Amino acid sequence: MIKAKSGKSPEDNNMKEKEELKKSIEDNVNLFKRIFQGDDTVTVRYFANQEQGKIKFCIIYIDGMVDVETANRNIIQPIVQSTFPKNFEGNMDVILEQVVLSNHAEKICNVDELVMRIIRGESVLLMDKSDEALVICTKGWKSRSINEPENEKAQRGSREGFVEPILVNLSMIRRKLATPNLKIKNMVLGKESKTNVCVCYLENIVNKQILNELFDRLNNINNDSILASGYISELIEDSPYSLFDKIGSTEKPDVAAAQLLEGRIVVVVDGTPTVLTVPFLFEEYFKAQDDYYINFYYSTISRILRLISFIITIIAPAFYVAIMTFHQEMIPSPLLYSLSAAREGVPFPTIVETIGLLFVFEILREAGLRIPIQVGQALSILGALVLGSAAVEARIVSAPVIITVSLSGLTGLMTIKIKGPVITLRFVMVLLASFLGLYGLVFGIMGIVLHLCSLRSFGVPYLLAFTSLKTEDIKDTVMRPPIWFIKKRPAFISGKNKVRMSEKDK
Amino acid sequence: MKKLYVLINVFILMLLATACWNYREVEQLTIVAGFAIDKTFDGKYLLTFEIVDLHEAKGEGKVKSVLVESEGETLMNAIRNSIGKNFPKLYFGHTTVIIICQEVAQEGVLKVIDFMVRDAEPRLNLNLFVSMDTKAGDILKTKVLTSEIVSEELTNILDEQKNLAKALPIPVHKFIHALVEEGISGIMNSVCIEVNNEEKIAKLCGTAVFKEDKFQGFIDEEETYALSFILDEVKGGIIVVDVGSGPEEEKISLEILKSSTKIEPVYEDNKLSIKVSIDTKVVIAENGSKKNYTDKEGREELIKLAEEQLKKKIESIIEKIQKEFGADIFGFGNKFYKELPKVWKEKRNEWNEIFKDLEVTIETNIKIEHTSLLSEPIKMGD
Repeated sequence: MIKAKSGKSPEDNNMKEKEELKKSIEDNVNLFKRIFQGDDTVTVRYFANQEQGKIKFCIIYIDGMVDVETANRNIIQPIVQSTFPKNFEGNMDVILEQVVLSNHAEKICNVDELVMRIIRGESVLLMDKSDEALVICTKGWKSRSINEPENEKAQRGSREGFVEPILVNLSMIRRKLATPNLKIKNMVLGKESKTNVCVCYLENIVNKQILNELFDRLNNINNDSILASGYISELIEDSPYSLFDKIGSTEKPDVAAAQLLEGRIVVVVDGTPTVLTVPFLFEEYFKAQDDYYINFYYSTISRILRLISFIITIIAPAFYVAIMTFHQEMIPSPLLYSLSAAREGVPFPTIVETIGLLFVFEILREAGLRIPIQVGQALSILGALVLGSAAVEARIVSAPVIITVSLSGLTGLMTIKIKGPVITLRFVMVLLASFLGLYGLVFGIMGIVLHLCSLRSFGVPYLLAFTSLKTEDIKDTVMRPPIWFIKKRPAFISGKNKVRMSEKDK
Repeated sequence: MKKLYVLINVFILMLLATACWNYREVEQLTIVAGFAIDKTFDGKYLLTFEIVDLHEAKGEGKVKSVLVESEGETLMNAIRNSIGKNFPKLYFGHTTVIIICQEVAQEGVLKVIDFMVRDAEPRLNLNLFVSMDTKAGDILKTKVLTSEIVSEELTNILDEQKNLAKALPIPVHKFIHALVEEGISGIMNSVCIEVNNEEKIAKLCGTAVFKEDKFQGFIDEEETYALSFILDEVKGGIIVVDVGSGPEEEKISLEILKSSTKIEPVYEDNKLSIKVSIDTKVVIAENGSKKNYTDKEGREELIKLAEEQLKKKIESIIEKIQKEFGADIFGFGNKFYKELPKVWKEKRNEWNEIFKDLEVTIETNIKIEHTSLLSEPIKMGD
């Protein structure tokens, strides 16, 4: 019964929202009360001017969404205490222009719009005998302070990270790029959540085709809610079944600014400290913004390490299985002796050992992800001591498998952004290697490369930075060239404006 | 749907089109480090396998080896017969050494070679040895000085000796090459037992000479040294020059830095001959005399002596091979075949006779690069 009722009531509300406001303040207040029926946080307060007490005022807002101080000082106090002009007679314009103290106030009569404003944390001021309402910005809810994001630690770059309120995030981007070319387009997505989403780009650099494509895809979103930017990323991604991300994400304004400067588009979603960047290319998994802030030799070495780590983390367990079970002749003799001596007495086949340990490693990692720090210590003791050395001593697993899996896990930490695909691919590779040896492993690698080659992100080839023939596309991939070498932006991503540094500026 | 069909086909092909694959755990292998081939008195093959014993090691410490003997009418048969002895199948992927006894070598080593090339496991870079004056199996029973496995030890010694030009690197594929190619005969390293500190140890002792696949005889280490100059296998080592005049023995050691040999076949007046020119760069490593060889005259004198003595050694080994064995282990015939093919076509059938009286001129060029850290001999100041 109750369900049926609640299912019906939004439709009723929709019918009424099309109405305009009435002249009577009582009718209007009752209208809002009906709309917000069952929501006890909606507050209605009547008051009047000390001199012309006949004209009733009423303020409607949601408790907790508004800053009480602001509402008291800027709305109630001026209306109650100020002296109204004698020919006032319920003129809303006078209130707007001469009484209310707010930089952001406007006249609205559409009920639908008013309800929306109340939900967003603004206060609606109603006046007796007026069919217009005043919407005054009193937004003021508590939000987290700006912290350094845990996932993107900087060595020398800026330490600030995005927070949840969209306006704070936009201001952080704006402070990095003080140019009128920075455009911010607002849209509201999600039928129920009505989430604010802002698309930011530099008008003079952005590739218009990519921009139009992005707007098309965003406009097609028909979901009921956008709770985090991940929703959007999944809803507008190319090849949605692929393991790899085609949309980037960052928690740092300086990274977002750098992306904008390369002609990429940044999508900021209200309530998410992670902004999206499009297009996203494979190389970005191995880049860090810090690379550009420290010595370029060192950055280049780091990038090479990350690339090698990515390869190792995917194929190390598979390679071990293949070598140990199919290609014993490839192991140097002394190593074979020690490997088979280590396997002596272990009851399980190599493949079971490897998959089992990989599984345990993933469990440990997943468990460690969301537990409090105090429990973390217990976890590492359990993982390292109990599962590691004790298992080897009890001859349940052999030491080389532990070494291989740890190596794989450790190198996986080097490229934390590509974690998702890596975990899956690691298992796939091990399985391939377990029934086809190196032959299967090679097939797996070929499969990955072919798949990567076939991907596109908003029309830009996913492996552009590895396969392009243009120097400006590839030079900033494995190497981190000195900043004075990066004179042009990647041609595919940015539009016509490619020159970053003109000869004069050098 | 069509895509799915293609994908399924690709996977089936992946499974079926694999050539040589099988899943086996390492502990199911019995790793053979080396084996020896002997003949029993009733004409069967007696194989002695040196097996790496991993049960003792248990992850730490040294690995030891165990010997297993097995008989059979053929090699494969003998190997299969070993399976009855309560251990997993023998694995030859890590075999480094095969020792053949003199008797089997005299009968012909083709059977051994055939098995190794035909079977998938043995590598073609393993080393072949002929045991000298002893059963091949006894070599594997000797005491090992540095490592725990005789086969490993033999390989290590061989690697060391190769750098001193006292043994030649002759993996199976080289021997096969010599068997198959025209105008070249094969050689193998030979190994014998020596008593050191009252314990029997294995020792390399020169080279075994083959004609076709049949063993002909041994040459000793000094002769192997001279042989390696002709075969252009010198990578280091020492040339000892006797500079003593009269009763006093004065010797100088020249350390070889680099050496290269060119063999030129000559056909003149319907007569075949060979020109060998050897260029060697050396340093004076030890001066056993009081004379100073650093000035120009001294150097020239030393070089002259060294060249003459080296030439003499090489000439004598060539003569010995020609007269005693008649096996063209130098590959002179092969040079004619490659560089003067028309001549070779005519003379091929008479080559065995021609080789015995083949005229070989040897030219040695030694160049002294430097005199190490000392320039002049140490002067004694009473």
